[in-house]
Amino acid sequence: MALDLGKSAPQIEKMAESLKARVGERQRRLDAALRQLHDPLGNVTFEVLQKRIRASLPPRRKITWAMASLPDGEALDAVYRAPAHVKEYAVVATDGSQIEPDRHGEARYFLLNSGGIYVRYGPKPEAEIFSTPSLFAKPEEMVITDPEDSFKQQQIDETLLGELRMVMEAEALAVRVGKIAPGLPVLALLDGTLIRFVYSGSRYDDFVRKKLLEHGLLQAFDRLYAMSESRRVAFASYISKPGSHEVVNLLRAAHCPHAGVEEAGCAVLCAKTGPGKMECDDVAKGLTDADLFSELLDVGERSALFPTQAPIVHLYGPHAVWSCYVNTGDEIARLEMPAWVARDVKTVDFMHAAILDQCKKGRGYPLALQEAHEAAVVTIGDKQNFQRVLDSTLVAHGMGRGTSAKARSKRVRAV
Amino acid sequence: MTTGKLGEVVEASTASFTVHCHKLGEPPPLGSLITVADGDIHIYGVVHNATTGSIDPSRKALALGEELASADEVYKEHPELTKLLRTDFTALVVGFKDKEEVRHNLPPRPAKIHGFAHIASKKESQDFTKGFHFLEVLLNADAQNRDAALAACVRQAAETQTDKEYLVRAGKELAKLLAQDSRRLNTILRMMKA
Repeated sequence: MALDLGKSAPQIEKMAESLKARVGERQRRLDAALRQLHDPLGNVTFEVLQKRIRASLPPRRKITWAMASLPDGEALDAVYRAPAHVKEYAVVATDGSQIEPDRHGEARYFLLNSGGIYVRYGPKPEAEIFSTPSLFAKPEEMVITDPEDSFKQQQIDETLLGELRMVMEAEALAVRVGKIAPGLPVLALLDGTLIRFVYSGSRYDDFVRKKLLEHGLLQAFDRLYAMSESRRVAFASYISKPGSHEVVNLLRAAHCPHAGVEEAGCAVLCAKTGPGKMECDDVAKGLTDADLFSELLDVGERSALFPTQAPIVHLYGPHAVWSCYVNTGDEIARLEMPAWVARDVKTVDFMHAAILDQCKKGRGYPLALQEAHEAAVVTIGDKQNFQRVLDSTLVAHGMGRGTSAKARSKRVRAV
Repeated sequence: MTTGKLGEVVEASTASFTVHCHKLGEPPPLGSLITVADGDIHIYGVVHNATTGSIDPSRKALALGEELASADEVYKEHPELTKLLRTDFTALVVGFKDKEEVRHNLPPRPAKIHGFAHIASKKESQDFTKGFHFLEVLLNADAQNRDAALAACVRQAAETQTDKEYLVRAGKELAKLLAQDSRRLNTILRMMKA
C-alpha cells in the first residue's frame, strides 16, 4: 500500500514544531555556554575548578565527563586574530589508504599505501607528490608478536591495520620533512586525531601498544621533535568537522552548582535519587566544542590552546596532545599538536597563518591534505588492477587455484 | 641526429601516437615533424593536437587566480600544479625511416610505448619533406585539426628546404590532390600563407 500523505502531513507538522523548539533551546544553551566560557569562575573558585578537572581523570573519575585541562596562562575565551600572511614556507602532508585482507582470496595479504605531498612557497616554488605501497603477505607480517614471548601474537585486525597505517603516515611525514632545505619553516600535517584511544582499554595487550604507539607513532613524532631543534616544525593534525566535547565538558565542571561534586561524584549527586538535575546540561547538552567556538571565533581567528587529558596521552611524553580551534572561513577546524609545538608561541603563530593559507589555497580544506589524500587513495579500480596482477603472478608461479567459489561467483556474474 | 627529447609515447596505434610531454605547457608547435625511434625504425608524425589538463581525468582544473595579478602568480602560489597537470600532444603518423630509407607510408608497427619523442632535426626534416607523398597521408587522415596541421607542417618544411619554390610546389601538389575540393584547397592554401 502506498504512503498516505494526507495522514503523514500532520506528523510532519509536529516534527517541524518540535525541531523549531529544539533549535530555540539549543541556542539558549549555546548562549549560556558562551557566558560560562567568558566567565568560568562565576560559580566556582579556580582551586575548585582545578579539583573538578582532576576528578574527571581515572581511576577515580568522580566527574563522569572527559574534559580538557585549563589552558596554560591563557583565558578560556582567548581569541587570536589571523597573523600576517606567511609567504615563504614549506608544507608536507601525508595520508594513507589500504587494501584490506580478503578472506576469500587465494593469498592472505593486506596492502598499505602511504602518500603525500611536499610544497615549497616563496621565491623558489616547487612541489613533489609521493606514495609508497607496502605489501604485507608473510605470516609473520600479518601478526604482531610479543618480543618477550613469541607465543603471544595478535592478528592485525581492521582496527590495528588503521593504526599501522597511521604509523606509516607519520613516518613518511618525518622522512619527507627531513629532506627539506634548512631554514624554511615547515608545516607538517596529518589528518585525524593524534590521540589513539584504541590503546586505552584492555582490548589489546601491552606489547601491541608498545609496538605501534611507543615504538611506532611516537618514534616518528620523536624524529619531528628532533628536527624542531634546528628549524621551525609546526606539526599538527587537522580535524575537519570535529565532534569533540573537551572544552564544553570543561564548562560543565565550571557550571555545576553542586559543591563537593569532585568528592561525591556526578553519579551520586545527579543520579535519579540525588538532589541534582544535571544542571550542567544547560551549558553543554548537545553542544560540541566546534558549536561553541563558532560563536566565539571570527573568520581567521583561533582559540586558546587546551591540553587534552585523555589517559592514553600520559604515555606520549613530550608529545602530550594540545588542541585549538580555528575558524577557517568554511568551518571550525580542530588542530591537535604535541606539547613541544603548543608551547612555542612563534611556531603556533606560524601554524595558524600557514593553516589559513592552506585552507584558502584548498578552497576550505588544507590543500596539502587534499593532495596527500589523492596521492594515497587506493581506488576500487586500483584494487581490481592489483588483484588482477596478483592473480596472474600467482598463476605464473603455479599457485592458481584462485579465489573462493563465492568470490568467483561475484566476479563472473552471469544469468 | 635529433634534438632534445619532448616526452614519451603513452598511447600508440599504427596511424597516430600520443606523447606525454616532460615539460608542462610546452608541446611542440602544431604541424611539427616528430620522430620516435624503435630499433632500426624511426617513425615520423605530424603534431595535429595538443592538450593540457588534469593528470587525473576525474579531477578538473579550476580557476585559482581571482585575487592574483597573472597566470605566473597562480603557478607561484600553487607549485603543486606542475605535478597535477600534464601536457600531451598527438601526432599523425606520416611515414617512417627503415635503416636509411625514408618512406611516406604507415610503419610496420606502432610507435613503442615510452619511446622518446623528438622534434625532427633539420636534416631529417629536409630528407622527409623533400617528396610530397606525406601530404596525401595527412589529407586522408581522420583527425582533428588535420588541415591546419598540414598547412603548418608545409610552412615549417619550407624553412628547412633550400628550394625557394618549395611552398609553390607544395601548393601545386595540393591542388592536384584536392582537384575535386577547391574550397578545402583554398582554406589550406590560405593557412599556408599565414
